[in-house]
Amino acid sequence: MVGAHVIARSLATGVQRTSVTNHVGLFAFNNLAPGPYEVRVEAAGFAPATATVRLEVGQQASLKFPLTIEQEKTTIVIDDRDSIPLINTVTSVVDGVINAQQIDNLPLNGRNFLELALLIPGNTIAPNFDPTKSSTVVISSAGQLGRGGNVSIDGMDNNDDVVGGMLVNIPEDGVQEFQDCHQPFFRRGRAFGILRSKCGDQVREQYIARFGVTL
Amino acid sequence: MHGSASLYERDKVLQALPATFNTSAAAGETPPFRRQQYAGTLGGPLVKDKAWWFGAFKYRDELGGVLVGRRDPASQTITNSFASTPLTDPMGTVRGDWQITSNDLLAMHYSIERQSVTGGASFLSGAPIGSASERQDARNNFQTFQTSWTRVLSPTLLNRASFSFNNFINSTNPVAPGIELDFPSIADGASYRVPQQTRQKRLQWDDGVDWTHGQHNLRFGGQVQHIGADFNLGVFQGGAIEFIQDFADFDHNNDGVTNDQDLLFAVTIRSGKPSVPLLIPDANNNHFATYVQDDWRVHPQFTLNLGLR
Repeated sequence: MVGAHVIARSLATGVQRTSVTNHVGLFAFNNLAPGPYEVRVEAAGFAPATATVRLEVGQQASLKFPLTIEQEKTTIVIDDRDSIPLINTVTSVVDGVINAQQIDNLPLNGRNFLELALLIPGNTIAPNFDPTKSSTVVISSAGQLGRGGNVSIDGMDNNDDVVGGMLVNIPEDGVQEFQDCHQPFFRRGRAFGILRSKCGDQVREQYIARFGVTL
Repeated sequence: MHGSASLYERDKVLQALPATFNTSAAAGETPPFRRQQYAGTLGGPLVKDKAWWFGAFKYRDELGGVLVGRRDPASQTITNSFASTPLTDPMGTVRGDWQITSNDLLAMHYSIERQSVTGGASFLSGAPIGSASERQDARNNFQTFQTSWTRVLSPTLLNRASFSFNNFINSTNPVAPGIELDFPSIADGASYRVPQQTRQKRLQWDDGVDWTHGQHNLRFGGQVQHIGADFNLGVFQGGAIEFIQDFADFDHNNDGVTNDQDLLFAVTIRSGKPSVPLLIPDANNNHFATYVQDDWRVHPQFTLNLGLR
C-alpha cells in the first residue's frame, strides 16, 4: 500500500511520530526510545489498523499490517514474541536483552548492573586485573579479555581507556534495559553491552528511569 | 510523580562459617561480613506529554574481612586473623527528557559515584598470606554528563547528535606507606604495587543520520573522542626486600640476642627502589570513526545488512 499514514505513539510518554508508506509499501521509525508503542495505519478506503509492540534496547520490530476494506474496524494486537521473532530476519546483530521486568525482579549479588550480563550465554566474570579497580565488576564476553569490553550508556562510551573496565556505575533502579551485544553492527562498532537509561512512562508507572548498557 | 525505595540489610550476626572455609587458617574465626544498601527513585512529568525527569540514588555500605597474618619475632610464629575491608559506594543519576516540538527531542543525564574501598593487595613474592599492612585503600570518583538531540527532519530522515563528558579519578594507596618485606611465608610491610593513580577525562561527540529510501534503511555518521589521561604507575616506589627465612635462626651479628637484626636477606633485581617515579603525564588519545550501513529489505523475508566502519 503506497501513501498510507503511519503513526507510532509511545504508550509511556504519549509522544508520537508519523510516517508514510513509500512506493514499495514500507515504513520505518528509526531511533525510537525503548518502551511500549501503539502503531496505527490509516489509508483512504481502508479501515484503520492498530498494533501494539514493545521495543527493547537495540532491537528492531518488524510489523506487517493486513488492511481490510472500510467499515470494518480492524485491531491487530502483536505481542513481543510476534514483533521480535525467535528467528530474526532483519538484522545480523548477535545479542541478548535483559528487559525491565527481569531487572526489577531478579536479585543481583552486589547490585552492579554489569552482573546482568551473566544472565546471557557467553559471558562470565573475568579476574580482577588491576589494583586501581579492585572492586570493579569485569565481564568477559564471548571469550574476550574482560578489560577490553565496551560499555556504553545510551549510546555513549563509559570505559576506562587507561587500564580497562567500566567507569561510573548506575543504580539498578535507574536501568531500564540491558543489551549484551557480541556482534554489533557498524553504528555501534564495538562489541559488549548497551545500557538504556530510564525515561518517562506516564501510563504504566508515571516515570521509569532508563539506561541501556552494551557489553 | 512516581518513585520507589528499597533497603537491603545483611547484619553481621547473620554471617555463618562457610562450609568450605579452612577453620584452621584463622583459629576458628568466622570471616566477618555485613552489607547495607539503600536505594530510591523518583520521577514524573514536568509538563504533560512534553517534559519528564527522573532520579535514582543508591548507597552501599559494606564491611568484610581479608585473611591476614601477623608475624611475631619474639615467639617466632605467624598467627592468622581477619583485617577489616570497609567499602562505601554512593551513586546517583538524574535524567531529563524534553520534547521541544513534535520533531525535536532533547535528552540529558548526569551520573556521579564516589567509591571508597579497602582491600587486599598483591605481593611481590607470591607469599601465601599478607599482613594487615599489606592492604590498600582505593578511591574511585566518577562523573558523567551526557546529552542528545534527536531531530526528525522528515518522515524518512532523522538526525541524532550526542555529546558526553566523563571524568574519572582513581587513587590507590597503601594503608600504611613503607617497604614491602617479603618473607617466605608472609608478605609484610606495604604492597609494592601501590601507590597508583589514574585520571581520565573523555569528551565524545557523535552524530548519526537515519534515512529510509525505498527498500533501504540507511544509516551513516561519525564519532570524535578526545581522551585526556595521565597515570602514576607506582610499582616499586615504596621499595621491596626479599628475605630467605621467616625468622632468624642464629645470632649472626653477635649482639647476644637472636632477632630480626640477624635475618639473612637477598637483594634481587626486584628489591630496589626507583629513583624516579613512573609517571606517565600524557596518555592522551584521539579517536575518530565514521560508518555507513544499509539494511536492504530485498524481500519481506530477506534483509541484507551491509556496512563499513
